[in-house]
Amino acid sequence: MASREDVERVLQRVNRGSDLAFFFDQLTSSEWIAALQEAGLFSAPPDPEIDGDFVRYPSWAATRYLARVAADAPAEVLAVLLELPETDNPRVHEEITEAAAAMPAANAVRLVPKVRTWLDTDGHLLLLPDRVAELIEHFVDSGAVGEALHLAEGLFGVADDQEVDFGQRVVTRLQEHDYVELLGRLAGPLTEAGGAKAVNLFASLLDKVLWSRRSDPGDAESPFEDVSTIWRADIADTSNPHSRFEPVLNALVDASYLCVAALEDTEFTESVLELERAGAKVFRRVLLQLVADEAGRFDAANLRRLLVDSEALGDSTLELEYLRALSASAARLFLSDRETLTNQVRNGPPNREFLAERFGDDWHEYLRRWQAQRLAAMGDAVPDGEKRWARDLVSAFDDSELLPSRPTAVATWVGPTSPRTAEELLDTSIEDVAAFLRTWEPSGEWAAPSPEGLGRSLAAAVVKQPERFTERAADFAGLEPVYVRSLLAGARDALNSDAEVAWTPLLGLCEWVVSQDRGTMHSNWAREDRDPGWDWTWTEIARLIEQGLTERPSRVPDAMASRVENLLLRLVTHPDPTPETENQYGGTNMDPSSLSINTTRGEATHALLRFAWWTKKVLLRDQPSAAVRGALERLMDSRSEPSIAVHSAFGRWFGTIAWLDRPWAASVVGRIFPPEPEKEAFWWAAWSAFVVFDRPTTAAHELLKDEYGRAVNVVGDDNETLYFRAGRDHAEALAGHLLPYFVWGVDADPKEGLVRDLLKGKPSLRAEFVEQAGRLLRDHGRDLESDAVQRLMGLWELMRSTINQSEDTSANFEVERFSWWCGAEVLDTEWWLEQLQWVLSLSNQIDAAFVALEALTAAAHSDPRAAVDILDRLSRLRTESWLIQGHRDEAASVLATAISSTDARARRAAVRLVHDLGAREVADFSHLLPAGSSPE
Amino acid sequence: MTDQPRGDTSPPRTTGPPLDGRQSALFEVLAAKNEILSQMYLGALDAMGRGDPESLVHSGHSMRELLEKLPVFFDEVPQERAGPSLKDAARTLLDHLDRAKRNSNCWSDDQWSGEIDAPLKSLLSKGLTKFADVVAAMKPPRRSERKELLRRVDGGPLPMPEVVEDLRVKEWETHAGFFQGVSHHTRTVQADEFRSMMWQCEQFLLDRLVPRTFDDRADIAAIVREVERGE
Repeated sequence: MASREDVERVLQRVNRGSDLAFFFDQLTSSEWIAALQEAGLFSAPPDPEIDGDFVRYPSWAATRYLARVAADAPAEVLAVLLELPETDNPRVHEEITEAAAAMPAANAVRLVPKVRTWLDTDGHLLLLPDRVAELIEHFVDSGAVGEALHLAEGLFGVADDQEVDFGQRVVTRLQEHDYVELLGRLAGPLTEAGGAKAVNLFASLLDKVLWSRRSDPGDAESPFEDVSTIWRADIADTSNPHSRFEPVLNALVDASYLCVAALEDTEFTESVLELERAGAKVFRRVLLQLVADEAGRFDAANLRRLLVDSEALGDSTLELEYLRALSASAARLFLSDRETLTNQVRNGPPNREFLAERFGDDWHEYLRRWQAQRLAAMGDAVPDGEKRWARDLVSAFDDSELLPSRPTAVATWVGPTSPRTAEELLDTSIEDVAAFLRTWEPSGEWAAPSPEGLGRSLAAAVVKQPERFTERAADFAGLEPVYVRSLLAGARDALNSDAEVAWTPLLGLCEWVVSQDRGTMHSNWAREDRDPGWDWTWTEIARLIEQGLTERPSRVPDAMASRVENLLLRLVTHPDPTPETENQYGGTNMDPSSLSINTTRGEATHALLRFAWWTKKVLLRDQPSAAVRGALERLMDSRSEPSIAVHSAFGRWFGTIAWLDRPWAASVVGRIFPPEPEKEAFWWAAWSAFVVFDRPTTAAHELLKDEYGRAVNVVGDDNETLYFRAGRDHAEALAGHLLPYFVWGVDADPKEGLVRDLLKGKPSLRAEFVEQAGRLLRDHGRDLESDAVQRLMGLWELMRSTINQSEDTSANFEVERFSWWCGAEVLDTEWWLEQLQWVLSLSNQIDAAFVALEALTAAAHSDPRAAVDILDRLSRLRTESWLIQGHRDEAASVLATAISSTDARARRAAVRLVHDLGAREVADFSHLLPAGSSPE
Repeated sequence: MTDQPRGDTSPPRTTGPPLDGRQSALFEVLAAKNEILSQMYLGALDAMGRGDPESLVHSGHSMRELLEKLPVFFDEVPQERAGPSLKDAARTLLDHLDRAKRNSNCWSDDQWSGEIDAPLKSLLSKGLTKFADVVAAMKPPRRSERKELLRRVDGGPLPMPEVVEDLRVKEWETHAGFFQGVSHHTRTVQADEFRSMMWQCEQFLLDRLVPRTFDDRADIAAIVREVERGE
């Protein structure tokens, strides 16, 4: 027996909370309990620790110990547990429940009220459900059925007010997956021990959910509609509930259905009556399926109640299980009941007037099949007088038509469908393809083949045989726009794969398209899945041409330049985007650059700019034609072109414009990037496209120096979010331009130009600059000139000096990004170690701390003392609590290097850090400690 | 900024008495926190070694200061707040009380009785209320300040139970009381006793500031083995 003195001896060596946890975890004997309790060590279970938005639930070594020894000393453990102060910590609740499951049920039942309260009230349950499940199993095995069911009721409880929105999952205290798993695991044992009480528990939980979710909350009718055929097509299908639409509901149905069947006869009948009283219609289906499975356990009176019921006979939601039940038990009905039933069948469904109206001409055929299904299910049980009628009717149908079935009610939309596959079109002559496209008419029914679906098949066929189709492009003139557009889209996709197309007929088709009236051809185009007119085809022409303006062999033939030019000059006159389009789809919905490639004139402007590039690059002309230049100047001028989406194209292509003709570019900078405040949106549209999509060049730097300066000043402004979307970030993009200028020495003087602006500008921009510089030094440092590296180091030191002189160091985000520099081969190790130490003295969070830690492994060889100091600081970063655990090898390497170094202070610091990391429960590196070493 | 001792980054010491390994470790960790602390410690050791009649008094004074100032250099340990001292507040309260006794009809025969009159009301509403405000604004009791420091230096995810925490605070108070007594000449000690208390205090601080986690745990495991298996 451990004494109070033994505990006191231990406490003398307990210097930290983690030491006490270690002590408890060492204990294997229950003989410590009395002394520990006397010392007050069971008096303070740890509460949840809340840190801002985060909460941590510490485990408690004391309850872990009690759980371990509960089997050996149940009475003592129970006494301690009953006296424990309450805590909101579910981790402690888990451990107490684990202890309860280890002690005899006679002891454990005294903890049930506590456990049930935790189940009902704990904010986070963590592993408590698993521990409770073990306790329930323990109670079941020990015959403590009432306690087991009481806990099960808490474990599988459902919220009182369930959302009734379609698709809204049932709200349970447990995670859905856990609920299904645990119910599947416990339903059988609970039923075996608790009989009808267990079944009633599952049924009442299910009924409660369905009652609160009924489609018409004011409808108190019973049985009420629960749309169960949607979430449970077939009661007999007990396959994995996880794969179903409503896993929780299905798990409860399984528990109700399978467990009733397992009951002894007396309880079986009791439960059947209970299920009949339940409100939701799914219970009727469960009962009917039970009749189908266990007909012999139902007497004739029960069968009459369930089957000889005109409402049930005609209820389509019960049909599947009803027909099965009828088939299995009709012979057990009294003759009078069978006669009544046959008469009901002859009379047809109760709602026959409604159905007759709905089915119209098909009503009689529907009725005959309906009657034949029921008569077939009755089989020989049809009364003699009706047998001939029944036989004639049933024989008129194939057996397969009369089998009870219900398609699973899962609707999946797979996109437009086509009456012909791409392969079928490839096997058809072009003439016949064109003829089919010309003559085929869609049915217009929902999900039926549509023109759009056929167009997609056509595009897929063109991708596979582009030359064959494009050579005969003329055959497609005169067809619906959707087919012409699809042909062009297929050709574009083929070009994208470097396939050859026949440009002459293709351009001919394009020319034919732009000569057509653009007006809306189909007023009902959306419902019919067609193109409204030729507008979308215009956009596709622009995309096709842009794709063809390359240096590859599949490009537009040089001789066709003027035809292409004419087409493009026509395309850039298209009205899309209108101001209304831009209001509807732009703004907060889509940035101008994205909108530009989703509108006709925007896409055509991109194509025209590419054409200008192509004329110089491929056709080797000095300049684009006057017509092209004129069109471009009109499009880039906000006075003649109101769309900022179209305008953004000039930002995206500014580098090309400068390459085409630098003086011209210089003369239009003010138009593309207008300085006037009232044209701010045009500036942002062009600038965001430029800085994201175009590369920094010396020409761009020379021409856009003022714009860069303006950008540095406005980075982080509220309205930049309208122009930088889809993961694009202004600061990141801008830093990606400023860094090369700095590295090249083009703009590298901290006292002037962009570097001065950068140093005075927003911290977020400097942070991006520092990170990108670090990545550059680490990944491509060897490719840099040594003076560029020196310049970067100098700039960093200037930033450091500025921060040191400032009073407020809280917003210097650049400091947190320095980790990206660590380990760069071109940097002196001593230098970056010293910088990192300074960074860590300033900030308790850094970006990519793992980069710094990885770099330390090598640095520890040259400066083990600094490496250990930094490792210590990294281990204390508030935002990186898992850093050391996640990089154990690196941390161990740093410590091992220091411990084996010749630097005595480094060795001592490393030993201390090993002990300290252990004390803080960060990591156990005690294996690195040399024998006889001491932190002192 | 973090609030833990930072290991071994202090410059090597060039003056003061020679230190053994334990003393060096404590000196370094105090220096890493703040040079004032390490200088107090060095001064205590220096005085202890002088051997003159007042050397232990001076050494005790330095140690008392060190123990008192330690929480000051740990972030987030609540410190004394600005405002009048408790002594001044008590003096003001006594003035109010004297005035009330002199002027109130409720005070007779060394007892208060009857309905509250204006002088008594003034004592209650001004004198006592102000005194209560001063007390409320006083710095936290030294005991809780020390407890808070112990929590800071623990650093681990598991808080120490209050019963164990109280043991540690008591140890601290024992050390502080000893050195205070010596420094105020209210306690006479021999050099051996002083050195022994100094060693214990150093160990107390080392246990807090320079963990020997795995050594301590080896000891704990040995005790458990001894008790459970009789090893």
